[in-house]
Amino acid sequence: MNIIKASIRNAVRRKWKFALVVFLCGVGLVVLTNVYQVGDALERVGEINESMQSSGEPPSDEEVREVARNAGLVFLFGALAFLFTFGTTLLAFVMPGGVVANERRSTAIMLWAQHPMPLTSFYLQRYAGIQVATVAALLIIGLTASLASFPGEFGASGARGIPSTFLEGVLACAVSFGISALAIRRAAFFGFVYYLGSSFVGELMGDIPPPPTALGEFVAAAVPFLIFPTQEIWNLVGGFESGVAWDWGATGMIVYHFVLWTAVAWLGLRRLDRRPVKL
Amino acid sequence: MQATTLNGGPAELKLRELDVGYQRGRPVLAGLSLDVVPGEVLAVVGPNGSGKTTLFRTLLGVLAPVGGEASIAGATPANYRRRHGVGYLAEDTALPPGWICDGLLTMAESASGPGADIGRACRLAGVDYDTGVLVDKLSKGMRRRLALAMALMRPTGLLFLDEPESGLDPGQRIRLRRQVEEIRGDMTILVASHDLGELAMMSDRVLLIDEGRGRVVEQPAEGFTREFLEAEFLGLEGAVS
Repeated sequence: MNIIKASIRNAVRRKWKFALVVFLCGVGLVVLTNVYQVGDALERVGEINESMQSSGEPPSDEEVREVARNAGLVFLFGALAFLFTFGTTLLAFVMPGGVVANERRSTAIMLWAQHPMPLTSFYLQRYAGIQVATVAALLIIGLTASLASFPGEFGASGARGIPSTFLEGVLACAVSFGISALAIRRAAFFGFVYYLGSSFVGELMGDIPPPPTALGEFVAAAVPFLIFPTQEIWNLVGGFESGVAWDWGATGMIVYHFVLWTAVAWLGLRRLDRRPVKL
Repeated sequence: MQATTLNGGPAELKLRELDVGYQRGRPVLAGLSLDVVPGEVLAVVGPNGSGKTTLFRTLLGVLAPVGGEASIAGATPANYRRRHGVGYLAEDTALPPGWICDGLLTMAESASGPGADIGRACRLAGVDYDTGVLVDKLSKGMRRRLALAMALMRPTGLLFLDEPESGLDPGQRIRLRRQVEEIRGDMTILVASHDLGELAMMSDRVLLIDEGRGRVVEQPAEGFTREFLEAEFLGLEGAVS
């Protein structure tokens, strides 16, 4: 328990500035969406854009003035929403801080390997502490952002986006720790690359139907087990809305990914138990 | 004051024709045979690169011998470490950056299991400064004392000190020797050092390692002296006279 507590304290102390920046982006969203009519601004700019594209004529002076008047608000909302979403996920990836790989490389791991407690147990306790700190940070950030009054068509997706970002964060922390436990440095970076790559593959698979061959169908069925389950998380949190059936398939897939990365971490740590330092 | 050992007391070490190396066909230690009796303080002396740290890594079970046999209390070094734990102060003290000293000591205490005592460990290691500070802000000597406290967190049967005097001021070196005196007999201690004067005062026997070969020097009737050890050291092929 002391290891978990010490890890929570350390994680909070090291990452509170980053978390604060993300939190302030959430506060900014709350203030912006409650004070200004962001929905109207987005709607009006969208209408002008659509009419320009459909008619092919240049905008009138009135329309130009209207776009210019709303541009700052639209830009600020877009920037804050992007920084909030991006920052929350990135925060979760950096929370473990490459703990295992860095300590192995610097041989600081011997500080723990000299004691009877297996490294597997020791680092999994530290991971538990880091995950608790991550969940706490995401809860505070998410609950604050939930006070935002998301405009118009963003309303539904905004309310859904916060629990979705929260779940992504919890899994991102597991991915980052799993990579680090394999003694791979820069785990947060590689984890984030995996996350972005998964999003790209997921989008691609949504847009392009698989070729009607056995191989094509196999690949289409196998890929969700390998990529970060962004879409499944999105489907899962849809179940929080009234009248929407709970997606048990998505739930199973998310649990699978969480178990997978915890198992990866466990296997990596078992290897370190046998050979703590690389000589 | 006698500390309670939790693992059957000080450990006995047996090395038989031990060959250790990092690359095939290039042994760092070759044919090393040695018996270390429980509670003994064995000094390990040799020129730079002679294999002192390699010997410690082997006895910690993190480097497998390529030939021969090493056993600690009848177990392989790795099994002994995993079962009972050992105390180890590395030559290069690597502490995880960004940690408060208290956090590291707390985790070491938990990893040590029953019998761990932060207060005793800090007293023995001379950690008399504020432990509520970042390890990054400690001087080299303070970092070593913190690492030593983590090594002494639990009364173990075996303690490895790899150049423990490195980074310590003269007062701390004297203090370290007194601390070794305090715990000698409770655990078997292997200490590698270049400070022959300190070693002369704390060691029961000396293992001279030179170009992969080891030779044990027994204590003369009048006891070890700095001059005696210097003469032995300068007799090594790898030493610069």
